[in-house]
Amino acid sequence: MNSNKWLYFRTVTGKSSDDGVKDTALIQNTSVCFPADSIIDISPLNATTLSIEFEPVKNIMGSRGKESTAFGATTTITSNDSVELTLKATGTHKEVINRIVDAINGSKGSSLIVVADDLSGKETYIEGISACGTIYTPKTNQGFGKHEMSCYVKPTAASADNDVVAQLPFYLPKKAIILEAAMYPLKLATNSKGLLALEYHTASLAADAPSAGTEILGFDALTVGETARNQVKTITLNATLATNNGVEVKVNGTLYTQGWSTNEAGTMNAIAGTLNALPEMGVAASDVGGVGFLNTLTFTAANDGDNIDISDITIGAVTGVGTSTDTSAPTPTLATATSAHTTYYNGTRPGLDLDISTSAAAIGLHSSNMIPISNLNNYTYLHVCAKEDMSTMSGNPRVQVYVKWWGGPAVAIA
Amino acid sequence: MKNSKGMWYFRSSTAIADDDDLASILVPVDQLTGFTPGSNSATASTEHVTIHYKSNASSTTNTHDGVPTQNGFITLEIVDKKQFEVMSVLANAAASNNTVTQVIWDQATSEALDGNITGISKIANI
Repeated sequence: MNSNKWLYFRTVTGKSSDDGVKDTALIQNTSVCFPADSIIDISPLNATTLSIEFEPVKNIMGSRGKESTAFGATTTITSNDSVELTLKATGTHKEVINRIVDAINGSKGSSLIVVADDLSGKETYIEGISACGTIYTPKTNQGFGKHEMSCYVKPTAASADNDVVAQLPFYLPKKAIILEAAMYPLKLATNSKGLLALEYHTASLAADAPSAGTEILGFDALTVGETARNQVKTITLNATLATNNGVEVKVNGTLYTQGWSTNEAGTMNAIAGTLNALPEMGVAASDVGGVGFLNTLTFTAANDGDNIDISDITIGAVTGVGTSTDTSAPTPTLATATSAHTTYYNGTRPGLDLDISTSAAAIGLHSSNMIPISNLNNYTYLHVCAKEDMSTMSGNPRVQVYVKWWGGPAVAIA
Repeated sequence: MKNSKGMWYFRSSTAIADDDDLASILVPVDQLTGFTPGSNSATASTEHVTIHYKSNASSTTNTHDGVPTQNGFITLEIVDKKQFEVMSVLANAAASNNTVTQVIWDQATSEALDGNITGISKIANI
């Protein structure tokens, strides 16, 4: 068929609800316009319903899949689109089919044929049709399995840090397991306000309400990943420092020297302070008169995987700062260990909040190596949240949010 | 290209210097698969109409969409609640025997097929 005609269907009664998402069914549409050439077949669905199947507007034709219920049987479905039309009279399928075909093949009038339009006050139907039924675009698998959704939201000017600025227009069913998430700034604000994070929560929250969920994406997002383990090295002295002892130690190839500083604690604290300033050093601390009355210097690497190379330890006369009493200097012993860190990696890449301020570089966030999140037997709502006071934010920013999960299909929030 | 009657041109960049593969596209009219209201996202919208077209024959999943789709699409920004009017104009334009390139929206020149079309929010040509 090469008809040059287009077929229009609308199943909602108001223009305000003709928004592309039918109620809570994300695979249904509120209206659609197909090329007449896309008709695959027209057939009765039941005594008063006629179904027109089309080549899909969104998907490649021909793919098929299994649609399954939670514990029930599977049904083979196609990915084709379809529109269901309610007939005025039982058993009039053939008559209505003929009128549709006549309209397509007619040479008069507009190229757009309104087959069924439920718009209140302006209802329009081809003779024999009384209502437009369900419009599927696309009729894809919606059973239990791996799902992904994407949408944009318009952040509001939240009045306080950690307030919700937008709720995603759908929620996930109970027992869903979140696998992946991402955010991208589609349109920036027009002033310097705009730090955002993504949280999941068990309940719906209005914009500007205090957030109450757990952060998935953003500076504060925590994920187990691989538990961070930082290298810890300890120098233990077998006796107290003698008066005028100095301390000398080579760290990552550089020699650091500390002379006697008033007393033993002053000396140990001074070398610890010097080494604490090194960028590769997370913490350098002294413990004078610690366990067993032994004195220690402890070095903890700043980052997982960093190596703190300690060598050339000298106690006593060091680089000309010690005196004759150095002969009584204690003997140092070096030990190496690793210790579990008390926090986890931030899985967000980059590990920052989403910046939608006017000067932002428009860098998106991804959940990276996030361990899947189970929200147990709860519904999962997703909230974009302010990470600063955004009450003075200006402009009309938009943020694209992507979520992937295992479980049942998403439900639109009407 | 088969039975081509014409082409539709879209550009979303204001500056021609910013024109790239995400900013403009030419679509053969006979590759159109349909029009839907909204943004082709899970976000309901009465301020958009989306034009769908066959973009390739792969099994690529387009995760820009509310539910994964495989065809390409261009989402137009429209005057609020003018979904039917825009679809009607598009359908008549597609059905015409116009064999020249029709500009549906060009941000750089503000040229539009119809006054109810005000911009482009997305070109997804995977």
